[in-house]
Amino acid sequence: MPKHKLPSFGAVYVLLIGVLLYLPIALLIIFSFNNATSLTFPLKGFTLQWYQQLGQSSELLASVRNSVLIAFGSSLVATSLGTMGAIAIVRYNLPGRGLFLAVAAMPLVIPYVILGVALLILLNQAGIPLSAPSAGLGHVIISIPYAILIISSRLVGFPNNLEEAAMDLGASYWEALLRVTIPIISPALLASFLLCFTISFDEYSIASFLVGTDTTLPVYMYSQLRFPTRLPIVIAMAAIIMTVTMLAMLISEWLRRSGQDSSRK
Amino acid sequence: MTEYAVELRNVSKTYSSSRRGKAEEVNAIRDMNLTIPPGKFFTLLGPSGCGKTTTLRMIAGFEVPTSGEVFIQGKPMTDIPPNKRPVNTVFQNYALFPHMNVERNVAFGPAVRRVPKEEQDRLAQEALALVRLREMGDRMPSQLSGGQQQRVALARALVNNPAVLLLDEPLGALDLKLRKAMQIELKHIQEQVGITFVYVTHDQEEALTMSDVIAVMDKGVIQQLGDPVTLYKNPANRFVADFIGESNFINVTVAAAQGNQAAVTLEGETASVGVIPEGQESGRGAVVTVRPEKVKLSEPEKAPRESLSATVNEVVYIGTDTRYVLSLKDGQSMVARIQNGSGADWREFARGDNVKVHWADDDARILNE
Repeated sequence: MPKHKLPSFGAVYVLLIGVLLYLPIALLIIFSFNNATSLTFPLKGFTLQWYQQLGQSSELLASVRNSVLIAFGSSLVATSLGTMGAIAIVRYNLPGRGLFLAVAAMPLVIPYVILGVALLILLNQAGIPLSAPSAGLGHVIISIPYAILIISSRLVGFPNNLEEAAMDLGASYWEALLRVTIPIISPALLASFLLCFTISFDEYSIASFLVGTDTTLPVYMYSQLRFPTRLPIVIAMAAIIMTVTMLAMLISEWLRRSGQDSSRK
Repeated sequence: MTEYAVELRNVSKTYSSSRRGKAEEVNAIRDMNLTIPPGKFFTLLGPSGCGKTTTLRMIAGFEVPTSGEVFIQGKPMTDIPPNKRPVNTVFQNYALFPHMNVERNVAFGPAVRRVPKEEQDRLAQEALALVRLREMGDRMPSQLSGGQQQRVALARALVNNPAVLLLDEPLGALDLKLRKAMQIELKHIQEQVGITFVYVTHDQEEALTMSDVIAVMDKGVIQQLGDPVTLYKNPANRFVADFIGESNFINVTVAAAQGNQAAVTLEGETASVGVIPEGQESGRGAVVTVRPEKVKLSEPEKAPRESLSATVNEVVYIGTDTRYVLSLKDGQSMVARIQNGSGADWREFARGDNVKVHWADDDARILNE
């Protein structure tokens, strides 16, 4: 097989992915500025009215606020728990480490719909009312595997004996953690936080079961699809979310890389 | 009663590792008794896996003895965690904190002791001056060379003014030239600050260069404890003779033994040995140890009566000396290192020459295995 054939396959692959991934996003953004309620070509003219109406829709804004709060809270909790889990896995020779990892990674393979129903049943049995915090709980569960993976890969990258050195110099275990470990893994903590944030912010299935009346943005948007005239507003909102999410992912990836570079020096 | 800087009493360390479900016990340290005098440069010397690093880590508190007890300045350390022990460590890979500049690295100890900020800075500057890095305080560790990082690690450990400084092969990562320079400097710094240094290395030359006292370790046991000259001149056993410097080991038969003196034979030829352990009997096999530089070579006709015949196998000229690889009559190989010279007594030998090997009685000894 001549080797020079490969780049052309690569080019086709990149083109295909580019079209499938970015064309819909581009269309979404284009239609969010289109002066018509129907999403068809040809375009009718440029308008900002959908963005203006969006700003006046109090239900929509409330759902954005709910989503941000849930995403913020759940990613904070998931990152904290993920840090503890990662330290336990990487630094200590835990008995049953394999089991622990398997349990922690379980949410990755359970469909969110099923997890949502399961949590709904559990919360009902326990008599806990459905609300933003209960949806947050669900998001913590699905975010933890990602937090553990990101943070433990950073912990593996720096030598164990930095903590020993800190303790040798008189720091207690907690001081060593606060003065040495946490600052060094902070890029990973931030990356984990941002990733967990987007996971929660985008998540529909679990939220739709658990939020009760504290509707989140994805849940609200889905409910609005029944009203064709409101569709352009939803699309404008989607365009904003797309942009913010992609920015967040870019920042988190950049942080992850810059963290790795500095540890390699 | 003198107080030792460090004392190990009947210390053993056993690691259990389970491999494929089979529990294995590894004895890293076996019933070790060791006293380290204060203010000395003390070295734990041995091949990798001999337990020297484990010993150091037990003194630092990172490992807990399976049995026995560690004392520092006469106080038992069993329940004292690493951060409460009056010792500091220079780690093999330096273990500098990558997110702090040099000065903050050095000031870490005072900072966790809640020393006021100005005092922290003053102590850090003092320690950096000691290792001649006063100008480097605001650099990051990644901007320093290996040798400079090494000095920062040393300053960071010395800033706390510990009772004992532990050094775990700190020069291992440096190139040879820098290593030699750092050896001298470490020794000077130790003399200057007067702190007890406990130094771990596998490099016997390094140990001989720097140490006041060396403990030679193998298989978790101290083989011999002594100053460099004693270890070199009077090795206690074959391991020490082999590990410190170069030695020839010649299998012979004891012909006669009396007091310190023994006559040994090899293929009908006789040689004498000046240092022997008790209980040597004629007719028994023994191993004679002699340093290559103590071996003398002569032409067969000029040799003294007590000498062994050999053939020159290899001649390597190494400047001041020439190194001869010889084979004895029965095929045993040995090495002679002869200083190059001039004058009537001195002559060169070539490959294939027949020579006679002899030595001064006191330079040859029979060792316990």
